[in-house]
Amino acid sequence: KAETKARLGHVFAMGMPADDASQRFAALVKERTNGEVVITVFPNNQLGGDEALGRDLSRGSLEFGFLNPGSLTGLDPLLDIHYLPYIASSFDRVDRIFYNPEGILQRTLKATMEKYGMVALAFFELEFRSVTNSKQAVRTPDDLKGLKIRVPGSASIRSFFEIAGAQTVTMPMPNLFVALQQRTVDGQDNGASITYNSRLFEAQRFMTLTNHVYAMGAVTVSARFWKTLSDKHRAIIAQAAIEAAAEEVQKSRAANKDFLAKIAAGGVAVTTLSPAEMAEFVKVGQVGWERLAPIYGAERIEALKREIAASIGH
Amino acid sequence: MVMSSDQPSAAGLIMSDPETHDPGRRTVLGVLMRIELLLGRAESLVASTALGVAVLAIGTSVVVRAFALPLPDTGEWAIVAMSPLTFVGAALCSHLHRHLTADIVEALPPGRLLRFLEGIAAALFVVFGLYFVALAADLFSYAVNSGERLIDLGTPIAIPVGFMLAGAVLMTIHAVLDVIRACTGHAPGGIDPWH
Amino acid sequence: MALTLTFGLMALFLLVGAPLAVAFGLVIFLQMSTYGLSIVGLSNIPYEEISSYPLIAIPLFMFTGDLMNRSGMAAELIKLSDLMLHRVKGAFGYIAIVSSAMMGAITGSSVATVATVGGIVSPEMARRGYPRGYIAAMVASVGLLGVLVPPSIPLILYGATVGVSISQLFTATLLPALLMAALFLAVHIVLSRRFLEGGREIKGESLNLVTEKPTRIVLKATSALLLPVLILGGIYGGIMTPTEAAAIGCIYAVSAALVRRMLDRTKLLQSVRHAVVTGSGILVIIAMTGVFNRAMVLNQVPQDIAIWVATYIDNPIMFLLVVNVVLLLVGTFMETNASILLMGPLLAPAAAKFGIDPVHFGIITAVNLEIGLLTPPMAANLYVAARAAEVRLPQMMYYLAFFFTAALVGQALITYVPFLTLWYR
Ligand code: NA
Ligand code: NA
Repeated sequence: KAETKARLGHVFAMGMPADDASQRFAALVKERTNGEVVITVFPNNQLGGDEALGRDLSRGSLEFGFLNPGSLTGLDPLLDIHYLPYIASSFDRVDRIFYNPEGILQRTLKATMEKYGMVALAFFELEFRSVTNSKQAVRTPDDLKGLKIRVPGSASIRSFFEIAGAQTVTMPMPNLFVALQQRTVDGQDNGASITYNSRLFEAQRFMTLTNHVYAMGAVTVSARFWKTLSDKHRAIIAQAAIEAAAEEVQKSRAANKDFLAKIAAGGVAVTTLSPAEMAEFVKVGQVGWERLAPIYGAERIEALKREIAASIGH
Repeated sequence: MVMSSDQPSAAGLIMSDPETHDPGRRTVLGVLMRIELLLGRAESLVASTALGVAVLAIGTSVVVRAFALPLPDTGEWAIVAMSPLTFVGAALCSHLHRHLTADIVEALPPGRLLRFLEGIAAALFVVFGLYFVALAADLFSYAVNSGERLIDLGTPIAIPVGFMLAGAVLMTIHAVLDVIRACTGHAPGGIDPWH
Repeated sequence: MALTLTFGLMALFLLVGAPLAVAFGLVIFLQMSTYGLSIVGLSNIPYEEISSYPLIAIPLFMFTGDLMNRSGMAAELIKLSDLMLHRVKGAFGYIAIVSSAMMGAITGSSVATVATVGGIVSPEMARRGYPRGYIAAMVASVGLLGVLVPPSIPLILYGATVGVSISQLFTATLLPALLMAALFLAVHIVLSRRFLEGGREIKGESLNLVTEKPTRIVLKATSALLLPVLILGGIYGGIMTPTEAAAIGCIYAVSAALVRRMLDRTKLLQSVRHAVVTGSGILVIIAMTGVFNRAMVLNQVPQDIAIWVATYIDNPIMFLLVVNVVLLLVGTFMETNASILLMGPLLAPAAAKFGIDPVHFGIITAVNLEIGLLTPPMAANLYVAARAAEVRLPQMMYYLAFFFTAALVGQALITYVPFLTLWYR
């Protein structure tokens, strides 16, 4: 039988859990289709950043991507609905709300990506976001007041810091290290893996595991390519995506601990919040949700609130 | 003086020689070159404006941040300006015959061989230009249909991509004229837009 | 086979005088199906490639350099330098090196450094009797200091992709920068005696050093001196990123020149046109390099090279030698930042296996690829310097050979003397 060749692109550096998962996914697909579908992985931005990957997936010129939908809000603002601050602040809540295929988050992301020609096969962990800065330890939302924080171009994340009284600065990632080192900005809000791997911690003194946003990625296939596959191949690929993503979540959490240890070893004071302290942040974080209703839709926000209440009831 | 764009320089960065370049209004080429001149002026205006926008947008974003003004970061406009600056600017380079080359042919003395090679290079540019137009048109139709925007200020990417398409079309037009110029024994490049 | 055809066609296109952007783009367009590409697969790349903050600095620094020059403010700086260095033989070599290091501390990019320094010193060097080919060769070479002196965009990219401390990389690059500066200066001292008439510069009449008082020269140069102070202070004082400093530099230069009545509408327009034409000429090449690189990446060409290196070599000295050659080759055909992103992560694991420190390897990689900016066809430093000095490439080659050799000597020392990069440990 003729071999189907496919390409997979992502922005993760080699050896990162998401890259390992993409290689694992490719290997599983090759093995289970008896070499009929062969996926070549292009890691580390080799095929461009998330926006570029999204464009190529959408138009069918790239077959697979391990994509961060939160970076594609230029395509549709709904693609970072999971960035609403403090949907969940611990891993077990995350597992119930974010990794529930019937939940509003996955349903919204899938439906929105579908609209732009992308099929989300499975979701994997990027990370909980933290706050790092070079000025002061952050233990309460008040400690954020007056800090100049670089944030990504997400209405949710920006609104969280603004409500807390921080000054937000949007700035492209490549400028961030220099900006931190030169104190153009005081801090940033990536999680442990990006803070470690982009060496941002070298220019920072304090890190607080605020967990204000949980980011997840999507194992994505171009709808145009998806349609050309047989049902058998589709089933194999979908299953491989789910398995690779699930393994990634476990690995990512182990790696996260590792990165935090390395960041601490690099001289950064890492603060873990007590449940009471965390509750203060959660309060501030959820204040802004109403304000974001025009973007994400009041019904979706209501549905999300119901899921959160149910997850606490557990 | 560094490469003053307004004067033909002795070092071979020749862009316009009135004797060979302005065949007069009566010939077909002359008429075409008058029209091309208008395009060249428009390109100059667009690309220069883009440079100004880039400077001001970045300058403003510095001021906004330094004084914590309640205004959005205008850096996005600088990114948008890169497209007209690059692609419409490249069309201007075509008009002025000022693209960067490996600089081998330029060392040849004027004559048939030089005109022949200029013709070949212009023909290659036409082929390149047609492909580039196809590329840009494809991305432009995606940009329009998807409605994708840049995330900071929400600028539709159809705007910068539109400038890429315009630049591709303009480059191709200049290249076609360069082919005609080469075939009729004229030096490449259009009429100086700044005199 | 496809590769042979690709490079053959590219050489042919360049030979008949096709622009670089055309040569890079067209070889891939014509072989789209060979490379498994399509119009749709390529269309996003040129747009994506140039929509980048760091690249904005290129036309901006070109504008500032040209404006400083056209308004006469650069001449005031030159007068000041001349006042201080006029007893030194071949003073302009020193001035070019010092100002390249200063621009390097501002731009993080060697092309921007060449553009600014070349724009300011080339005309004056020509007036002082240096052959134009010599000027361009020297300015292009000392432009490497743009990246070797921190901050440095390629080093940030290396640190981020390979997972190496960027602040360590910035510290590690200081001695290599000094070493390269010293080597280039040595070449200049020897060559300038040979190529200047009587071994001395002509003191330009335009300078009126005899008639002007030293205090006046210092006073007049102050407004120009403030520009690097503003840019450096802005960056190191934590107010601005390099691209922002470039924009603020433009605004300052225009304002200062206007206030001092050294600028009229015509000159301003000329500077804008200069920046647009030189800037877009380079940016469109970067856009098309993106297309070319994508074809290479999708066909695993650089990856195959790296795998080959890691497989067939078993001792570190040999490995480093091969790496030097490979990176030089890659740098010959590819743009520095793209090459770093590609080759860094591929070669660093192999280097680690040979016990080579990742910080050391980062500097080796960056310097290697930077030297590639001096080797055509992908030789941005040469093209920019040639434009600034108004000279053609072939006329530079003879002089360039000397500077290129010096760079290779520096590269060898940096590669085989780890102390140069790891002294701080
Ligand atoms: Na630098
Ligand atoms: Na090169």
